[in-house]
Order: sequence, then C-alpha cells, then structure tokens
Amino acid sequence: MKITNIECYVLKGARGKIKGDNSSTSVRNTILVKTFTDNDIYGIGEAFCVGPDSATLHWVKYFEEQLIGQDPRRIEYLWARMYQGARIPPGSSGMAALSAIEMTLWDILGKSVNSPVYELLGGQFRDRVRGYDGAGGNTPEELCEAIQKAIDRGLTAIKTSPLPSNFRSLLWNDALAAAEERMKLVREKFGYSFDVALDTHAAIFEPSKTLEIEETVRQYKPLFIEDPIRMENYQAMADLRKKFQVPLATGECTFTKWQTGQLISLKAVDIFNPDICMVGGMLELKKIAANAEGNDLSIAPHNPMGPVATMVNIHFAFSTPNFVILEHRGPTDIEKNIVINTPETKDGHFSLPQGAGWGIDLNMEFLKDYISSDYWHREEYFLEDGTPAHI
Amino acid sequence: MKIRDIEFYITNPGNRNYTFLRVLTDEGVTGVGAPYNVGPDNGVLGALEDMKEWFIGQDPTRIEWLMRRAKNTMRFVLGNISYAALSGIEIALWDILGKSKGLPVHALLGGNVRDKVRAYHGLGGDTPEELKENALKLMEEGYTAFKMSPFPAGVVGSKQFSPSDYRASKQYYVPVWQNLPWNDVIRLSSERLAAVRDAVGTGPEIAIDIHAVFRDAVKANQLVRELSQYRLLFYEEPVTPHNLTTTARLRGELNAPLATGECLYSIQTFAQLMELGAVDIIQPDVLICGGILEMKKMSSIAEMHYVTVAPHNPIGLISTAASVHLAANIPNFKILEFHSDQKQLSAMYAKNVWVPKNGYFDLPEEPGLGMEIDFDRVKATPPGTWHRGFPTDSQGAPAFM
Repeated sequence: MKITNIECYVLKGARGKIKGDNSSTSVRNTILVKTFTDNDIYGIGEAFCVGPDSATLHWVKYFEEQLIGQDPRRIEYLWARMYQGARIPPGSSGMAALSAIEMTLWDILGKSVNSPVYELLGGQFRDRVRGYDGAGGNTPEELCEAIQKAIDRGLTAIKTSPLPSNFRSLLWNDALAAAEERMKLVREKFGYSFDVALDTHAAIFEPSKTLEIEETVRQYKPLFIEDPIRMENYQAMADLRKKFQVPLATGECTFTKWQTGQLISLKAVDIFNPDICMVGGMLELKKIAANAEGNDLSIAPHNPMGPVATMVNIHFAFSTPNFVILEHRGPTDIEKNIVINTPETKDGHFSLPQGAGWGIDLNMEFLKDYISSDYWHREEYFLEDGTPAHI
Repeated sequence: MKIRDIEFYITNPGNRNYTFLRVLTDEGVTGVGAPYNVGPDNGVLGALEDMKEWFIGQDPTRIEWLMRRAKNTMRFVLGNISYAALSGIEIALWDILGKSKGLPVHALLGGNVRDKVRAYHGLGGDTPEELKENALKLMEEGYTAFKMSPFPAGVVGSKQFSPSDYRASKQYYVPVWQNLPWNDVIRLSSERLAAVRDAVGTGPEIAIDIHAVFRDAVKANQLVRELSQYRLLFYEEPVTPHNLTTTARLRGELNAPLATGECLYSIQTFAQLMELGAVDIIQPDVLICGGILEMKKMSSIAEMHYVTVAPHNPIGLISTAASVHLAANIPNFKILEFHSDQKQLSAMYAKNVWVPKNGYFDLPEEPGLGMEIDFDRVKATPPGTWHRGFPTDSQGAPAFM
C-alpha cells in the first residue's frame, strides 16, 4: 500500500450553532487532514487550530512531498522522517500538521486490518471513558446555569475558569474574592460529588498570584488547576507544584515528548494534559503516557478541538492505563453533519468505538461549504494600563 | 476471540533449561511465548499454573488490561518469577494479535523504522590468543560488534574443570580473577582487550560485560578507566543494580557509555534508572521486563532521555523473535545481542531458524512473531538439573557471578 496524496481542509464556522454564526468560539478554525492510498483506503486526522492555520496547511503540503509513494503503515518511520527532516524542531503549526498526518496513518492501518485502532495499541483497557466539557459564565449564577446544563447532559465533571473574564481589570483582591464566590456557590448548589476542574489558561504571569488563587479555592476541592502559570519556564512550574495542594495539570502547550519528559524530570506536574493534535499524534501521546505511567502520573488529554480529535482521543483513552478523564466540547449540529459517527457522551461517558480505524468518516459534500483560507485570531486582552495581557 | 488455555513445558537441550508456552484460543489462533530462565524455574511454572485461570475465557487482544489486572491482583510489587511468567504470556498475546490481523508484530507497534536489525556477537576465549582467533572468525561471518568478558577466564584449583562443570555439579568455585591481586586483574583484562582490538582493527566495536561482579563500585571505575583506551561500545552492568544510585554514580564518573537493565523489570524501575541519569543504553530482556508492550514503553521513556536500547538476549528463540520486532520498530534501538549457541537451539526447537546474516537480522514478514516452536520436540526433551553454581572469592565468601 502506498500514499498517493494528502489533503488538508481549513474549515471556518464548523463550531458555530448555525451557519454564519460569527461569535468568537464559532469562528475558531477546524483543520482536517485526509491521507489517500492506492488501495481505496484513506485516513482522517485533525490538527490543532493554532491561529495562522494557512501555515499548517502549507506544512501538510510540505510533508506530503516526503510521504507520497511511502507505505502508510510505517508510522514510526514516517514520523521520524517528517520530524527530523525539519532539522530545527517544528513549532506549533508544524507539529499540528505532523500530528494530523500521523492520525491519518493509524486510521489507514486500522482499516487495512479491519480493526479499531485501540485494538492495535494494547487493546481495550476500560469499559467506558469519562468525559468533561467546559462551562463558562461571568457571574457565579451564570456559571451555575452552565453547570446545570452539563449535568442535564449527563456529565459528571466540568472545567471552568476560577476567575471572571474581566479579572484583568479588577483589583487583584477583588478577583480573588470573585474566585471564592464562584466556587462557593457551585459547591452550595451542586455539592462535592461533582468534579470541577479549574483552568487559569496560562494567563497569570506571577506564580505568587496563582498560588493565592490555589489557596483561595483549595477548600472547594477542585479536580485540578490547569496551566496555573505560563509554560515557558518549567522550573517555575515545578516550584509552584510543591506548594500546591490541588493537583497541578499542565502540558497542553508542549509540542514534543521531550518537553513533557522535562516536566516529569522536574516534578512539575501531577496530571498531564498534552494535546494529541499538537504533540505529534497518537504514538507520541502513547509515549508521553508511558513516561507518565513509569513515574506514577496520570494523563487527562487536552481536547478543545472537533469530533475527529475527540474520537482519536477516545481510542487513546480506551487503551491507556493511566488515563483519567477526557476534555471535549459537545459537538455542534454542523460538526455532526461534517463528521459521520460523531462521538457523544451518554451518562457522562463515551462508549467503545465501533468499526475499523477510528470508526468515523467525513461528509465531503457537507464539509466543502465550510472550507476557508481565513486566519483565526483569538480575542486579545489588555491590562488596565494598556499592557498586552496573556490570553 | 477468547483464550481457551495456556500450556507450558520446560525442557533442557543440554545446557540450561528453557520454558516455552502457548496461549490457545477458541478461534484456533495460537500464540507462542517464553518466560526467562531465572534459575528456580519451577517457581515460574507454578506461577504460570496459578495465573492461567486469570486469562482463560478472556479476550486475548486486551493486552494492557490483562497484564495490569494480573499485576494488580498480586498486590505486592512483582519479583522476577512473576515478571518472567507474565512476560512469557504477554509475548504470546502479541503473537495472537499479529496472526489474527495478518500483520507482523512490528507493524502493530507503529511499523519498521529500519530495514534490518544489527546484532553484536558474544566473544569468548580463555586466553588473548583464543579471543583473537574467535574474533577473526566472527569478522569473517560479517559481525562488526562484539561483547566479551574482560576478566581472565578459568577456575582456581583445576585445569580440567570449567566454570560450567562446576555449575552443573552445584559446587563452589572460585573464578580465577577473584584469586588474583587486583592490579593483575586489571593488567590481564587490559591484555585481553588489547588482543581483540589488535585483531579486529580500529573500526569494529567492542563491548565489555562486567556482569555485576563487583561488591565495591570503585573497582568498576578503575577497570573501565583502564579499558576505555580500547574504545568501548559500552560497559555493561558495572555493579549489581540493587541500588541504582551506585550505577548513577559510576556513570557520572566515567565517560564510556554505561549499559544496564537485564536484571530490572517494569517501566517504573526503568523510569527511575533514567531519572537518576544512571544509564546510556538500557538493556531490558523481553522475557522478563514485562513483555513487548512494556519494553516499547521503556524505549519511549528512553527516547525522552536520549537513551538507546540494546535488548538483552542470551536466551534466544522467542526472545530473539520478540526483540527483532521491537528493534525494527523503536527509533532509539542500538544493537541486539546474539550468541552462536542460539543456532543449535533454533535448529532443535524452532521450525524456522533466525540468525543474523552479515551481522544483521532480516525483518520478519510473517504475521505475529513469525516464529513457530516445535512443541513435540519440546515435550520430548525433558528438563534437566540446572544451576548457576556458587562462586566464591579467594577467602571462601560468596561472590557475585
């Protein structure tokens, strides 16, 4: 079997509730990749939406040149050729493209032997996979409404920000008070048997401030606090983790297994959340999980992307011993139309994937209306004095 | 597909005992595996007898689940007998998976990174002249890498008895070097290495196996500093790995590459070994380290530490097959151990013989492991008494072997 060509589709608006919806999350791009072979079998993958997604598309075309004519089942070999061919380690757009291509190869391998991918990765390790979704809300009341909706969907865990979205313009002590109010009301309304993870989204520059958040919310027993500080300095993360009582989660901003290895060596993490659409794909995430397992750490994949990424993560989660919980966004109707067999939780859990490969397909007829060459810009934030803030 | 039974047989072709097992399924697919020959092998047979009930009736494709379940139900951290038994079963499960999917095992692990698998050959010889002669013979066969004991060979007190004779008779024996002044051990070791380097020239690679014989770490330091002048591929097991910080200390003091891991099992232990910066080359043995998936995981952790993998493979057959599949797949593979006694062993028990050609193994293309064991031959050849013997030092105290 040989690879004949690789296509990449940058989609705009697939995350929207309806076509043409222009709210900020709706216009986040979805980047899908399809690898074709001379054997009628093709594979599907998804790249992380890094912002300048046309760059990702060009990376895919760049890698395609190396891959045409190659046996798609030689995944380690092709991965090494792509990664090492870049010489200077690729950054976010290159790794996003490489991740998506790698996923397409597993889909092809699975389909070629009529087997779900998890079965080729050590087999089914658990009966169901627990999922959590994000829950927003600026006020404690709005947050509780969002959580109620998640509970109504059957979820048993959510993730939210500990701070209101305007925290950058608040006096810090007021922001801390707001954090306390949010968690207090959530626990009053929903008790402690529902898991609430907190994500400060690497938006806080000072470790001492994020420690104050942790001290404020620890009595409300969050599941973990994610990216409490920036991720450029792993030693700072390690220093912070020693002082945390709440489990510290990080990893979504790592590009490679080597970076995650350093986080482990420095004892900078309790719960890993690398993103399969960024760290190089399935086998790389399996390697990261193996290192975490060898060091008695667990893994909760970061997954804010679409149904393809979610399905790939589900295969990972079903086969990996130290997996704990999977992030996902409840799919939009548009996404459900684009991805055939879009996975959804039932009673808060995903069930075992059926069919060969990932067990999903793309509806090309529907998808083509969303192809776009636009960038996606995140909302920017500024401090009171006009200083650009972290997002 | 369900596991129907696990059968296991111990046999002795004339040197040491070998245990072979097969996992039978209700769909007629059978997987072959083997546990490591740890010494008290009846212990391994007993473990297999106890464990097989945990596997019968289960889906053999759930490899990670079956292994974790078995490990967890034993509660205490597993020792070498449990790890040998589980590794043997795990290998057979990969054989079943490969056969049922029609793919060689390396294709299930992410495919082959390389086209052929390089092997080094064990190099023996009691005298520098014998070593020279044997090295040249192996060069003619195409090998370009060798591993040897640095120590002067032989047993004190007898010219007729070899160490293996003493082991067979379970007597105490004193390896020659244990009875020599330490400075002479270093001098004679250096002469052995000099002879081999002289014979093979500057290109071929020479590894030494210290085989964890030192009670005191500083001796390893002195020996390796002396022998580094001959440029070592690696020095193996400078001390017993019962305290990994000692191994880490030596690696920090010496420049030659340190290889170790044959006595270790589980990814947790290997993670610790690498976290301590104790190793350049890990040498897990697939028959005891936990099996194929556990070795793949160790190799992944090694990748993150810029550490390479040279699988330990003194037993051969199933171990050679499983190691070749892994070696084909893992990016950070270094080199695979091979010894010529495995040729006779293959000829006796395997339906197909795996030996390197020109120093390299070809990649297996058959589904599963691609190695078929002749169980009739195994069953027809009874086990023998096998024992490693009891080496002592010059004062009669128990020594390491």
